[in-house]
Amino acid sequence: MDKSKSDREAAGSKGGAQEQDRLIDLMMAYQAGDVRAFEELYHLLGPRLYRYLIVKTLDRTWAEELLQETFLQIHRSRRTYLPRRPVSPWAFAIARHVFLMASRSRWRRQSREEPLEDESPDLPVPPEADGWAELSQVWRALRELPPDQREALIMHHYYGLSFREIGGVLGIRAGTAKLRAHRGLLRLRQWLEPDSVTVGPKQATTYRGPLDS
Amino acid sequence: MTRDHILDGLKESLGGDFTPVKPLGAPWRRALIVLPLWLIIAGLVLAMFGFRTDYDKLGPEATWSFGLIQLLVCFLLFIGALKSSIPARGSAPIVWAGLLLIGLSTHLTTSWLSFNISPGWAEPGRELKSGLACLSAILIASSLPFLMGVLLLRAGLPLQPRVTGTLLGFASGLAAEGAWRLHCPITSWDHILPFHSGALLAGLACGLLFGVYSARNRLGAAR
Repeated sequence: MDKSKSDREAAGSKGGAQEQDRLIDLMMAYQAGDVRAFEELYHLLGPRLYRYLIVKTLDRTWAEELLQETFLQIHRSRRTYLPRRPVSPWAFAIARHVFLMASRSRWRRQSREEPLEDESPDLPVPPEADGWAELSQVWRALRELPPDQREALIMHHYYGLSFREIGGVLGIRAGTAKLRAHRGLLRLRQWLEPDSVTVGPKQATTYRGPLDS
Repeated sequence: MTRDHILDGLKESLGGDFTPVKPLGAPWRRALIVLPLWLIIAGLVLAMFGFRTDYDKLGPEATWSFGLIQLLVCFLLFIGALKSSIPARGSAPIVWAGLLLIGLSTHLTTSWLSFNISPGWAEPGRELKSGLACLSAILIASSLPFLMGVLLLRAGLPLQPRVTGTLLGFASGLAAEGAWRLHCPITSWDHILPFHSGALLAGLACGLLFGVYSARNRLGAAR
């Protein structure tokens, strides 16, 4: 690893740790009744949760609705945040719960209607996949990934959650979370950079996934 | 990205309700409540029905330790149930299944040991009557830890309510059976399996039903 890259990563992890500490302080202040802490928490967590909800819904309008509902749920269950623990996994778990509840009732209401998928949902792109293809192609490939792989991939490679934290959010083992994220990234790469991935003794050049169509 | 209109909507919905809240305690700390509850149940059992008739043969160490071992496993199950009601503290299904298996095997092992030290059968002709008495006593006794567990869970946000309910139901049954064991001297399998183990499974089923109900009605903070 060259020095500048390791410096960047060290700075990034330091920044991440600082941000995590800030979130923890804000969450504890929010539990103590501080309205400003709630507002700042909203500005820090809101974009992350919004993008996570886009990963789940593939629909910007629905994600916005769920973002509001997620924050209402966060408010109602703010007691369940255990002080000094990471805030992001806790918030993601609540957002996921809100999505599951909403999709269940939506499925009941609109089971025969077409899914409301957004053509360009502005999905978060893992840094690894940044230069693999045009952004629109990466989005398209991400949309085509199995939802469980897409979720684990984004949580780990985009949000930087550990596999243990992802396991806690999704109710699965850390090893399963790792496998899902790895398979997702591998599949994405096979679709976007087929010549660079070897599958067994041959290179994966025959199947290009959603980009073939 | 700023979504101030959502923030404004949120603040309007919350109506300025930013009352300070006390964070929940760690699951193990909250689960400690089962220890005094068990003592209450055991005290009631002993006050109402007395010690088992083979107390001297089984010995005080075995009599108490079998009950206390089940209490310990019940405590672990309670921790699991409370942990599952905190967002991002979920575990894989295999962990929950393992906990239930540990509970069941503890119950069966202590029953087997009791039978080996002091074999006891129901009076001929009264097998069903004494069995049903045990079954109902265990179920009634288990309602106390179960209700306490429900109260504790209401403070949380059970994201896997079926798992939470199942663990809670089984843990409550295990605690109650451990206490009832202080009185019941019948250790034969034809009594233990249908009536004592049956009560545990009935507790588990009640817990599962509670979980299903919770999932539909969004108990806890999930309203």
